[in-house]
Amino acid sequence: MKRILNDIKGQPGVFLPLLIICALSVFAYLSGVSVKNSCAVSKERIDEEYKAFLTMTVKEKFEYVYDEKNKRYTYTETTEKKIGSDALSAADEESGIVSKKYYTNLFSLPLNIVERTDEAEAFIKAVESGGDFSAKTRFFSEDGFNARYEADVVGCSAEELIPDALRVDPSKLEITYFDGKTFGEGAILPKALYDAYDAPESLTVGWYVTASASSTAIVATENGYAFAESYMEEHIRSLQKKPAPPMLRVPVTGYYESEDPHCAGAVVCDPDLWEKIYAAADYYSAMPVNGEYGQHYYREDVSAINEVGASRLIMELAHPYDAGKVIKELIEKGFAAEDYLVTADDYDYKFAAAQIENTAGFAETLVIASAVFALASVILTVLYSVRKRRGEIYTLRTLGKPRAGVVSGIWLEFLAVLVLGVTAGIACGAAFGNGICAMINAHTLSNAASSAERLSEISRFMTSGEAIKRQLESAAEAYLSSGAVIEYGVPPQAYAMIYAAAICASLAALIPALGFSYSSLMKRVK
Amino acid sequence: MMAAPLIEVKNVFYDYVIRSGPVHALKGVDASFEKGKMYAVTGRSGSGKTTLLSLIAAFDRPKSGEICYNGAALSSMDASEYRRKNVGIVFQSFNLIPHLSVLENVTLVLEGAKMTRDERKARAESVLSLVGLGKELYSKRPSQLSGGEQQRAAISRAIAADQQVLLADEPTGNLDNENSENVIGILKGLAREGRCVIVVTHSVEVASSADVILKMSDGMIIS
Repeated sequence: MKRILNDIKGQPGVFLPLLIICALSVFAYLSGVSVKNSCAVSKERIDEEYKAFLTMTVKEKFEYVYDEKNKRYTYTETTEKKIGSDALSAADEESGIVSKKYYTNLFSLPLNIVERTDEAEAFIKAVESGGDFSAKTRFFSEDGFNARYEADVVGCSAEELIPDALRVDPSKLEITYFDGKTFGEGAILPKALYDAYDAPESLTVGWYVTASASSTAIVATENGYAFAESYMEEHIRSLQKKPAPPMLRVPVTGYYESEDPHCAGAVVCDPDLWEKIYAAADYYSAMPVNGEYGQHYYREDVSAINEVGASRLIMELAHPYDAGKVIKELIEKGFAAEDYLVTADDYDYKFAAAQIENTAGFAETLVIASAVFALASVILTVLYSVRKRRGEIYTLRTLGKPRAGVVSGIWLEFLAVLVLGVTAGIACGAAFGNGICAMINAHTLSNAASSAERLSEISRFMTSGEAIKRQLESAAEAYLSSGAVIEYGVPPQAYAMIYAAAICASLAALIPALGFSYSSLMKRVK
Repeated sequence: MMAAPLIEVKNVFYDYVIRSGPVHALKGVDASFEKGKMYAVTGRSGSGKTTLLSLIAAFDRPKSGEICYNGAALSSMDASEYRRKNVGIVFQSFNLIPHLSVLENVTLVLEGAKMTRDERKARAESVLSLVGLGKELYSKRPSQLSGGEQQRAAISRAIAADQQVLLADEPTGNLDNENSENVIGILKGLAREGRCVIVVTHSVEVASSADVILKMSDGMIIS
């Protein structure tokens, strides 16, 4: 062993380059492996955390239809297709889809199948158990103009429950009924609302839209636009080409006053009326906006889907990276061809995955390049070094050293240097690996932010640029907060592999060490 | 009564192939080498001198014929062991291991011998002093020594294991006159001590110092 160490120490020109190459290559390799592994972990986290949805929509169709009455062609929407049970079955068969949500335009639904929401269910349960309930809904005065108020509706199954429902001390509550009216015949308004509506005899549960509209029949208010009731009905009829469903007119039976500051200040009505109000509110919330279906009613349970069809089917994917595969399969099943459009809402995921994949790609290249470089350069250096030491090898042979002894000595020397180099590389990794990873993290994060910024700039020149910009910024923000970090950490098998590679590389020394013939020994030594 | 030869070369033929065709390096060489004598093998380049030396050193085997050491055929011996125990070789270019000290170069051949480290060191120092190398040179690297000193160190290495045969291939080829005479003197002295010294040389001075001169030409000993 001492001889081996002496030989190594005595020949720095032979062994030092090998040691340095080996240590640097191992350091680069381990850094690459660490980054690659970290990327895999981050990617898994991203795969778990990010969600992606596929949206299947019915393509709208327009064509010129001859109007017999006016004797002319009009450009009319003739979309007949709906997303029905065939789409549901297809989606059910897709293993990549974990949940489905259906959106439908409630214009196509008769009012009586409008599904109650959780709040409505809660209300029913509350009524059954004699408790109170509330939900926000909206009211309009009869003329519908300029007087939109929003108030909570509190349902009470019995008059004596009103103080509880309003969370008010019974002694501080004063209810005034109109002549001949009692509880259960309509709504009881807070005095302020009653006054605001100029003592109405009834109110209409109405609608409002928050999107822009240009009709002169629509009046702008602070929070949106209000429609006259008459216009509303007409508008519905024109859009649906069928009579509008009956509006819900709620009779007002009285008002109440209370000095209690905790008073809920809600409209009070009995359960039957409350349910009607709520159903109507649901209905109106799905009204078309500016000719488009801007507000849709969301349903998990689509028992009525086959009755009316869905205008949109949202599918949540088990794995966001499945988007392409699932779309392809849906297309193969006949969707998204002529009548359907399937799009993936996986931009955030793709953006985050791209950042990680870029880094992983770099790491992969580093791993392969460092492994190839290390093996090639170490083997070449070993071969070159042994070749350089041929004189010494021949001399040892002429001195009577057995071939096996000479060869094993040479091999052990290279093995010792390579093991030393590997250990030095591992030590370098332990010392500087975290720093390298921190640099990569900083670079990836700034790259994510700057690429979003750069693309946002480009989006200024594009149609829907603002939406694209928002999407990019949101994706970058999601990535930055995803906790996808690169950390230095080497799996034990990588260490084992490197040491094994060092042993293999040192075996290269045997090739030239063995490769001489006896006959030429004397001449070579000369 | 004649002493029994230490090495006998009996009708040895040896050839090898180069690009231009087969080379018949030795064509039926017969020779005997005794202890206590210095032999000079002379002849032109390509006459087969070095080949003969290689075969005596058991680097290769004759194509036909036989070489015996102490009456035993080399072909029946382990070549490495034979060299390690019986044959010392001195080269024109010294062939000392450059990264080892003079002392380490000499002790190198004693590795594996049944000796303690101190014994090896003592043995190396004794052979180094035998060739006239002072202690101040023991720790030097070969490159720090003159040519004559290097050759003397090489001779020390060649006899360190008490080898009875000393083969020298142009031992003075790289030396000046003074050093050459010095080395010749050492080789003669080793022969006088009872070793069999075989020197391949072009040098007339070296040849004239030998007890026996074997002249080779075209793969044969002609005189």
